[in-house]
Amino acid sequence: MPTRDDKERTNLLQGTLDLLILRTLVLGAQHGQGIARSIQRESEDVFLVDHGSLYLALQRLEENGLIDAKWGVSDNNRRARFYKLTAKGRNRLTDKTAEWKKIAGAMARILGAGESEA
Amino acid sequence: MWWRKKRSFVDFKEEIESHLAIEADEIRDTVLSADSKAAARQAFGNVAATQERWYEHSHWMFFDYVSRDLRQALRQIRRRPGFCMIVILTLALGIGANSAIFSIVEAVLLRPLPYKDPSRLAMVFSGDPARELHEGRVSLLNFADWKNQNRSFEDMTAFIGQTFMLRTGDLPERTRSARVGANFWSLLGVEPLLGRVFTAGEEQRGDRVAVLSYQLWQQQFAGSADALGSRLTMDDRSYLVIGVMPQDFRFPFSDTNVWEPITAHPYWTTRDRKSSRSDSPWLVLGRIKKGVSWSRAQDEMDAIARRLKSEYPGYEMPASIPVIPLDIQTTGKFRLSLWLLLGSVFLMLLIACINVAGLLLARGAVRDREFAIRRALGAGRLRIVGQVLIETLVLSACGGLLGLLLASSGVAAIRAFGPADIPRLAEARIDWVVILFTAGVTIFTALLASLWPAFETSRVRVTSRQWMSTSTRRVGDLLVIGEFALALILVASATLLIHSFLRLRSVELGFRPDHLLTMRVDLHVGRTRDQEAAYFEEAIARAEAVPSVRSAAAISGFLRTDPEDSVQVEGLPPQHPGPCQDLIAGSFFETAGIPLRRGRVFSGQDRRGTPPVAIINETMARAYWPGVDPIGKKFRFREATPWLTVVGVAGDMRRQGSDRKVAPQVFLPHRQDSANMMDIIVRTNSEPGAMALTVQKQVQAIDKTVAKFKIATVTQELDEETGERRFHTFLIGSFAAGALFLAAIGIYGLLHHAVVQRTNEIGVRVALGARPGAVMALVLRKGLTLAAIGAGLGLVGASLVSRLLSNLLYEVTPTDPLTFGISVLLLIVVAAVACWVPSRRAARIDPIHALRLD
Repeated sequence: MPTRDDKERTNLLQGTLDLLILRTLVLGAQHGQGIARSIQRESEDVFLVDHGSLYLALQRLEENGLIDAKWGVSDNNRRARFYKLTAKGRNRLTDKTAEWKKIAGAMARILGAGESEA
Repeated sequence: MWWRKKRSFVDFKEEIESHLAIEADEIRDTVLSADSKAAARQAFGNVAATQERWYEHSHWMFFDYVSRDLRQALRQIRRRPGFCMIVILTLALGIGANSAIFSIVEAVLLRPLPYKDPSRLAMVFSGDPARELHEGRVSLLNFADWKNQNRSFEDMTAFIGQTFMLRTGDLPERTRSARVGANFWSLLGVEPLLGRVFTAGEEQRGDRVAVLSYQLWQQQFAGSADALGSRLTMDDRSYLVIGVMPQDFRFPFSDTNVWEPITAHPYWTTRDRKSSRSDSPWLVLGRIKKGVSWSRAQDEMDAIARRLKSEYPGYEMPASIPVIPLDIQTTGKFRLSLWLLLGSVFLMLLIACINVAGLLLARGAVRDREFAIRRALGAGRLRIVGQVLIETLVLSACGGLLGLLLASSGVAAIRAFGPADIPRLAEARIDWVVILFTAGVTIFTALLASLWPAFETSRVRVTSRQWMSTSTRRVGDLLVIGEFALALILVASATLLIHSFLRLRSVELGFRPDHLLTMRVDLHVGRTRDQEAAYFEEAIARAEAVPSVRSAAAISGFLRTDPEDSVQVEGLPPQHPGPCQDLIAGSFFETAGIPLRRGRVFSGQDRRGTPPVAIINETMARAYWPGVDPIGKKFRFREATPWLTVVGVAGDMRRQGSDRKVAPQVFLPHRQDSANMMDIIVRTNSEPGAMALTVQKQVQAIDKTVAKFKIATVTQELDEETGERRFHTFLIGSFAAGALFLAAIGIYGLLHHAVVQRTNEIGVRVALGARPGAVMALVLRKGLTLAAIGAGLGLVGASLVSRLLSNLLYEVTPTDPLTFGISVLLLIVVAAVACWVPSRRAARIDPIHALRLD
């Protein structure tokens, strides 16, 4: 049974991390290490990916049918589990991206307005 | 979530490994690192925690914990078999007793009667509070009026039992038929197993058709279908067999073997149809209409009773018409004692639970290190409580299974030795309802027994090793106090019952029951009054001719008699109710051992044609002729009966059951009346049981056509009468003994544990000069204080509970101080004995040894 603390922590990250994973997979199938590396690189090292949360998120997305997983072989010939977006995942990504842009825009306007007044 | 458990943990581990490998590859490519694998691990973070989180996410952890705790519990049992056996046995005893008694309560009280919609069936009786008549029988004329005038009942039917002689080979056998109406079948809603039941047309014509019981069908026709259409000879009448009832259908009597139309019996024309309103031998069954409440039916019937009573003065009419649900009527007097039995086994179970709680608590104290380590390793309090709970559940499940085994043999024993008159007792068995009940009790027991220990144990602090705190010790004290309080309630109840049982046994019966045989002889119909009288005189003479028989006599009902409706003393208006009335033959008073106080006994001169005479008992003399010599006084029962002259006064005899008051009694010489059924009583010089067969043969030799009859010693008959009382007294007594035993174990365990815990302290005391006596007193005082507080609380409980018993008590008040005093004393003595051993142990503590312990 996950404890209460655990749940709150994942909830906090869930929205962003799930969205970032889906976004990364738009470019094509990728394994866990690749997803982590890619998120870190593209955010210009702003996001430090906690691997425990990443794999839990992957598991959750897979269970919800947003991504598919299959064992395959990596570029440097290593066996790895590759994740791929499903149609459902693609739709979810579109919805969530729009939602995030709206929130980010609103946040920026509010925070920007506060800044100019100060 | 558990139903999506499709991905294995191994698979996930492989994924993490592949992650680390890829990471290591990249690190090796970009940086020149000595150990790329270690660097990859560092970059990843806590691998174990990641795996653990994934595992917890993808499994239903509850099952996981439970299975782990189960394994742990089984390990505990293996490691501490002695401790666990004690817990299991204690619980098995408590649970088993509960299951056994419950299976009886279920069979006798809870299982619905096997008829259609049985909750609307009612027995309808004649009642008269003044005569203490609550379930009186009914006259045919009254029945007809009830049936026609009421609007609460769908239907009503009257029936009566009739013994008859079944001719099978040479020896006639006496058995019982029920004479019932054609609507009897539809009213009960029962179907025959074979053939059909009789119709209204057959009832009207009085056709001789018979429906057999399953048992008679097996016995007479070996269960063959050819029985239908065969003939059955009852007395001297031939009946056509038309149907067979299912095995469990015996209504209305437990020994009903044949059902025949009311009208088929010769009594219908010779007696029943002509009988008056005072003549009430019938039983009435009714089915209440849907939507009519019991109280409305009762009110309506009572109104009918009042109307009829004023309409027919001069007849013995009921003052009320009790309407009693059939299921309550069948189980009647056993209801209270069965529920009390269930209550007392439940008390015993509570004590067993407390005992186990105490044991677990003590055990928890021993396991403090284990729990401290578990807490230190991150187990939450809930997990620890869960673990204790599961451990107890495993123990109590073992106890429950063992308890079921105990219960099944207990039920068998009760079926075999319990009183025969408890209806449906034979149906008591361990069925799925009982198993479900046992499962429920088992879970309840586990929860109750582990509640405190689980809570206390979970409070163990990681840092403190010695956590046997004062609070825990106080909980232990409370448990023992509770145990003794509950035990006292049971012990006091049992003592009250035993006390009243002893009182009842020592009641002056007014006759000498030892060396006395009784046999009921039924001559049936077809003899003249003189032939009947001659038969009984011959029977008495033959019995007296048997060697070592001192004397013999006959009476119309030796141990059972009911009062007449009225009596009129000459010169006074009639009074209600009247005395009991019985015919006697032979030297009755001498044989029964009843002293004659005044006047004379009957002689051969007191026969038809001579003035009617009577002998009365002392109670009657006091009641009707206070302060006057009753000899020569006259009285009669009703206007239609002749005046009787009192010629003698006999001592009182308790014959309506030893727990009832002596009623006024009239004895009449049988030659001035007649009876076709009498009890022959025989006083013997030697052991009566051994002579029963000889006497029986002698009497039976008079007339082979008279059916076999039951012969028994009067002592046996009296025992049978007190059978039910003996039954519940014995059982509640055993439960109280069990409770006392458990409480003793409980206090022993607590003190033993306390002494072990305080070995050090006691060692110091001894080293400083405390005498062994003082050390013993220390422990004894503690134990006895707890027991006394428990007993005190128990007294309060007992005085509340014992009120429920008052209907079962005889000449003992529910709060009898002597009984309560004895119970408290018994409890204290048991506690003292239980404290003795640990106190001896404390006194023997060697200070050197005790001090070296630490």
